[in-house]
Amino acid sequence: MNNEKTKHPDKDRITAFLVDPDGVDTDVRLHIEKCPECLQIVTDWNDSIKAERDSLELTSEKWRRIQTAVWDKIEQKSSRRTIFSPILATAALSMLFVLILTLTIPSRRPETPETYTTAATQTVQQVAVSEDFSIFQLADELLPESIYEEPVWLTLVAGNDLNHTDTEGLEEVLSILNPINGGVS
Amino acid sequence: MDHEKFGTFINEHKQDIFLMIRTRVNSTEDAQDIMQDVLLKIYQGMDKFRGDAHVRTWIYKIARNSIADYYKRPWWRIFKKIKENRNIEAQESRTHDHDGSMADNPEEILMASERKNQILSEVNRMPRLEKETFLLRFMDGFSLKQISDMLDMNINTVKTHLYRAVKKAGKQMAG
Repeated sequence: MNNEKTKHPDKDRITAFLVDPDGVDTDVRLHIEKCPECLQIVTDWNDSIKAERDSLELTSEKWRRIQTAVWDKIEQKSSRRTIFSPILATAALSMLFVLILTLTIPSRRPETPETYTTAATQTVQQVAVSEDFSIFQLADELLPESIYEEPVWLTLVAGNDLNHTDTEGLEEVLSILNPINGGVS
Repeated sequence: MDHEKFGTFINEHKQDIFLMIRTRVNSTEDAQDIMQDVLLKIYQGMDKFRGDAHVRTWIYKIARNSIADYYKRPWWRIFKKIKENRNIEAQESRTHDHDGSMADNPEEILMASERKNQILSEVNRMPRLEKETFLLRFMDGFSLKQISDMLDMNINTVKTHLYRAVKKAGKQMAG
């Protein structure tokens, strides 16, 4: 008897057996399976687990409530799908049509009107001539690029020396042009 | 979707599904709400389920996602639900009192409830992986290999978590 008692596996081995019966040493497993005391520990454990599981069981009343709610939702979903399908399909087609139109028809938005005025250009012309100032430098610094396409500007350029780089009186020119510059940005 | 096929399926698995959810949430009411969501997802996904995964593994994944979604709700909805649950519990408690089958003292009611779910109370205090491996193994009845696949974890790591969990739960039982 004594001999048999000493063979009892310790708590750690029994725990290991509960986790994975096939993972423990064969002699430990065989002992637990045959020893009434050890087997009682395992049985108590399994009974406790079963009791916990049973205490949380889904009762027929709860199940009825869940089942009814689920079937209602399924019915609602399928009827909503039947009603809304044609509407959704029409909406999707309309959106596709609008998208195609947007992509294929070129934009009819008018081009942004020039923000500078002919009067401003004429002022630049006068300043440039009177101050003997480089036309291109003025254009680069003060006016938008589109100034080069303006007839009045082209006339001005045609009558001047393009390589002229005299910057004398630049500050004065700029101070005269400042109010115009605000208008030509 | 074949309604009859779905009906048969959920009848066969309803207890497993409910237990999977109930052991991971705090109240029966929450579990019932989540179960509705899980069943709807099963209904929607049954046609796509190819059967190459174990059916209970598939259900577990759906349940896990639904539980996570449920607790992502805005806080005011959670508080509303807690209030509703308290009302239900209070009502049930009054009913028991009339029957004379339940103690009047709230402490005794609490103790009775804790006695009933001693192991799960302990499991709920465990670190996440100990808790999850324990529930998968002992409550849901998955094999070590299945748990290892489901949690994408080495089987020895699963055993280590389980070993710690069983020790803690065992102490609770002995105590």
